[in-house]
Amino acid sequence: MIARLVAVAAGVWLMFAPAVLGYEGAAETNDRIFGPIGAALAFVAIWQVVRAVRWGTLPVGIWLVAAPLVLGYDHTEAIISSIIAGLVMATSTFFGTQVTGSFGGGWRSVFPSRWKRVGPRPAGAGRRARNGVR
Amino acid sequence: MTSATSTATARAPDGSDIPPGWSANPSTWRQRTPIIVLAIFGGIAATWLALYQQEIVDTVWEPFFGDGTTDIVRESSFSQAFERFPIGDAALGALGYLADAVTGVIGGTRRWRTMPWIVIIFGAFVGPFGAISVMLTIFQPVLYDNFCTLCLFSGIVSLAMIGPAVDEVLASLQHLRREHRDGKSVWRVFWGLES
Repeated sequence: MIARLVAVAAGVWLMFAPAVLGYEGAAETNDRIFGPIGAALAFVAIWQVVRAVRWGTLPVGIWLVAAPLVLGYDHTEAIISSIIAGLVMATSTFFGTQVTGSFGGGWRSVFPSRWKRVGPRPAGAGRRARNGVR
Repeated sequence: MTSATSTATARAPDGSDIPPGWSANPSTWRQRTPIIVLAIFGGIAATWLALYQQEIVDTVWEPFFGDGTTDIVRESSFSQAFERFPIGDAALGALGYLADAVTGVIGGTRRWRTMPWIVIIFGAFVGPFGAISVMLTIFQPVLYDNFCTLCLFSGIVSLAMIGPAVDEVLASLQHLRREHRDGKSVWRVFWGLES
């Protein structure tokens, strides 16, 4: 929960950082696009049933760390802001991962490949156990 | 036989309405009421924006971004593009929240298995709505260099509905999968004709 909220804060910060720190151009546009995306992914992942959505903040964070170099930021505060927010977002992915509730095998149990696999087989207890279905 | 099998697979061993392998029933009112309340709040915000956009009311709550709401709701190219349609973007948002609330209310506490169709329609409204909200949140500063407080509030509400709503969708999808495995018609189970 805390890891998700910290990532949300990093994303929200990026939305308003251009106005607060006074930078424009590619840095401004990039932060205003990836800030809300990262914040939204982290926010949705607060709920246990969609905790896996937190993995979305990893590529967003990595991109935010790389963006100053790739897009050639020329504003020091924008560079620092993007790198710190990116590191926070990427790192948050690996914290607060525990899921205490049970969801019958989760989303993996309804993946299309599973549908195909379960079709010809009789209702096997082993597979059910793997899916967490009792 | 199929009916007995279905009951056995759809209910937990203790006979409760908790989906097999779940720690709680996602269709209880305790789970659904917060989503319905969120949809009502989102609907109020969107309705206010729609009335302001159509110039039916002249004031709108904008404590943080000056002319932000006016810039985005009345004067942006995105909103003006909707003038070609019979309904504006804000009114469309209000209808979306209404759909969320209505599909959240319909059905009892066993609807994850008795009415998979309404659960999946509910999820189909809530999920994409959240994605659209993120897109609109990006549009505000990137295209119009401003923010709109009620639009941001609406976006937060949309995102906050996803987590609590999709657990029920997952339970219904798992139910369909189990019934499919037991040789039942997914179509009939989807419409609650077999459960």
